Amino acid sequence: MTDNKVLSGIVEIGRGMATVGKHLFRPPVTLEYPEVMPELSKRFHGRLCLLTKSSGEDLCIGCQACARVCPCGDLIQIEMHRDDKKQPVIDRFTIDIGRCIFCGNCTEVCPVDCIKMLNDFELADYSREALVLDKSGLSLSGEESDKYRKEHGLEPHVE
Amino acid sequence: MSSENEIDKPQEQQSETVTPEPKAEEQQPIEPKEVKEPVSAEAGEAPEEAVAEKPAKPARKAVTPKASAEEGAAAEPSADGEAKPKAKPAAAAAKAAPAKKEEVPPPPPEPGRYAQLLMANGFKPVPLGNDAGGIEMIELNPSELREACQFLRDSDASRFDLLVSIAGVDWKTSLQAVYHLYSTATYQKLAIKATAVDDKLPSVESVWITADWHERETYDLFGIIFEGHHKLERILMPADWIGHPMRKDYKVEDPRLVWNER
Amino acid sequence: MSTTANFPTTSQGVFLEKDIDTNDMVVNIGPQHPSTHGVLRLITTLDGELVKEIEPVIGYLHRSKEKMAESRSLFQYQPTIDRVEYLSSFFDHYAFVAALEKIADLHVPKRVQYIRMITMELNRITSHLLWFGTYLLDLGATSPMFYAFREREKILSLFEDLTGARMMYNYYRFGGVVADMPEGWLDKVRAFLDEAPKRFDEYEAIVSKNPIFLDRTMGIGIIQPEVAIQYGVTGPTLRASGVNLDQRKANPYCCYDEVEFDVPLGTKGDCYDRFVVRMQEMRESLKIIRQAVDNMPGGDTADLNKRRESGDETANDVELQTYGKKINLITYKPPKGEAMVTVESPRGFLGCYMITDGTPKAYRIKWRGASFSNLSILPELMRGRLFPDLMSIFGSIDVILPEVDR
Repeated sequence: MTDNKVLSGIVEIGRGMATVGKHLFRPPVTLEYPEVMPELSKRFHGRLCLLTKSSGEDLCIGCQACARVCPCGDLIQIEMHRDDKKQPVIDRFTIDIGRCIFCGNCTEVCPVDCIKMLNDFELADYSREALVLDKSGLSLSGEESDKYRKEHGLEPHVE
Repeated sequence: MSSENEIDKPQEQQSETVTPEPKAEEQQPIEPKEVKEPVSAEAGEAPEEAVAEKPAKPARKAVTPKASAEEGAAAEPSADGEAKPKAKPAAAAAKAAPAKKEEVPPPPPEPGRYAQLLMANGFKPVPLGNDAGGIEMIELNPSELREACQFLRDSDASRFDLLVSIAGVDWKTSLQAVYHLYSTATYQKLAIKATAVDDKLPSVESVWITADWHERETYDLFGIIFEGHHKLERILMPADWIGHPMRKDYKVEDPRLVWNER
Repeated sequence: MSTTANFPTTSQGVFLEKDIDTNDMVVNIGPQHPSTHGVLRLITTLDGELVKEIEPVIGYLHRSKEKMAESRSLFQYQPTIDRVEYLSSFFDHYAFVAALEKIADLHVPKRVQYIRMITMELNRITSHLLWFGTYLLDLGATSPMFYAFREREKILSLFEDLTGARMMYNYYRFGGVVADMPEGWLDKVRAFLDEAPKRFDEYEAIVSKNPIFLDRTMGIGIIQPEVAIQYGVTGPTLRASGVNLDQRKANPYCCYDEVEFDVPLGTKGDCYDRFVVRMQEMRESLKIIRQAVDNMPGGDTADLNKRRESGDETANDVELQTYGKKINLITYKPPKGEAMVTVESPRGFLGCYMITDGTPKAYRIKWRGASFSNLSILPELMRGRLFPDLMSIFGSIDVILPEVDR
């Protein structure tokens, strides 16, 4: 009985070691991250951004929908007024990325497909204030926005 | 341990600054004064109710279960934060109590399978119909709660041997505990509701051992005192926490918990 | 203390001889200890090497998920419930959306149900894989964790393609899902299904007959079925004791009544049985996923899109949409009602009890965590056992602390 246990123990440990040893000859499954960037999906929940019109003007209409569905309280703050042609003008649009949980609620309810998520996930910074992004930090340029819309299958923006 | 304050505080600010619509968040001012929580163990700040020890919360109205269930549901729309009248519930809300007083009250639901079983064995359950998922709900008087639970566990016709959860509910006028039972033999489900009288309910720890922790949790968050529990202590909140956080009239008045706006 | 003590050679509750006169020693384990899988404190009273009493102290991870629901609309609250049980958050979401779907009587298309079933079963595999890796790590084996995480990463990459996130998915919606599967996603799932059984064989080759592992798990921490039910233990921990209770079979939800699978049962209810049951459950999950992938209504998204472009009206059937009826998520007010939904999560019954009162917020949301009840049996299991068995037993009931504290 004892011999059997010892024998079977040796055999089983040997089998386990052989399985482990097989991995010496397999290609690695890990990435050398800072040098090799991972391929992220198009739906990746990364840093928030604001798309603009092809001309580079604001696309946002200041409807507060994103702010109202945000689970993190006052993370998204929008101040806007309407000009003489009743067109919305965004005075202030800040997102505190440091408190964002990247849930994607805001991107889902945006009626004009303005607030979207990038594949940018390296967001560390030296101060909390630097993580509060304002409109200029969030907005993509007109060309970038067109590129984003093309890549993600969104309707191209028409005036 | 002040995490929930830290999370919830900005939410309240947001509803004032950003969100244009009034949210049903400002419910505390509508609360009558006498259900205000005594906030400190010294009971010095608590004005009217000079309550001696911690468990003795301001006694909510001692009412019979049936009356309180109706009252809780009826009082609810008026006490709500929103001013505009409520839309009529579209789907068949499975509540037994009438939603509004001026409406014709719907006929009381037929006693279901387990209500009949209990009635046949000398208990007095109040059938509440089925919930939206088809689970039969009955209301039991606290005085017969333990015996009825024991019966439901042991009877061959029910065999509810698994207590899934105990959920406390604060109906503003009364505290209620909802026991969800499950039978590992017949795979049936049942929900038992019991309304606390003077915030007290009998403990069912002797029926299901698992009720030990579930009752402690309900005591911790709602302040329902389960009489007969061997060790009714806080389980989720710290032992020196003041108040019962899941009550609707709960306010953080602990001087140690100051929200630090950065 | 006498040094001639005849220490027990097994952990079958053999007590020390009476002539050893030792004082009880109270050992505090945790709250921050790598083997407690989170933040759990165990106040352990030891008599020599034997545990006399053990008292779990929980609440260190209490994030007041139920209170948070009072200040958020349902849609606002939804991203935060990923954190109730973060290793298998699709189950949280399913319980949550199913409760509201029952209250509001929302129609859920078949295609959505199948997507949900695939994601939930994949999530069950990730959860069991993580348990497998960390349990073996608790018992002193290092390499199984790397292997388990390798497969887990593959599933997480699938989730990332589908939902955009690797852990906090926020993918289910009331009456639907956020978006349809990306084109070719089902093929990726199929590739994983082909590969996974070989990997599981590897795990079993390394672990399941290893004599050290057997000595540490066989006959340890036996849970009698009656005791388990009394303590509210559910899930694989209960099934390892031989109780055939699987909600997917017993009270089929989603589309589980349309797939064939077995419920693995243990016989003795010891740690080894729990290990075996979980390993078999992963294979059963693969079975379910394969059937769901093959029977997916509408098939792959690429095919469906082609059919739609070619003007095929049947491709626009309501059962093939990603939403039954799209509701306005910002202003949605559910009707008055209440529902309790329990799903079979990787750890047992995960329940969401929801009471709505006609406002955008839920009047009350109660989370029933499986780990909460499962953990409560630990004092009973450890009484009179050897101290080194603690991590073997505690690990085998697969407790995840965020779910305990919520």
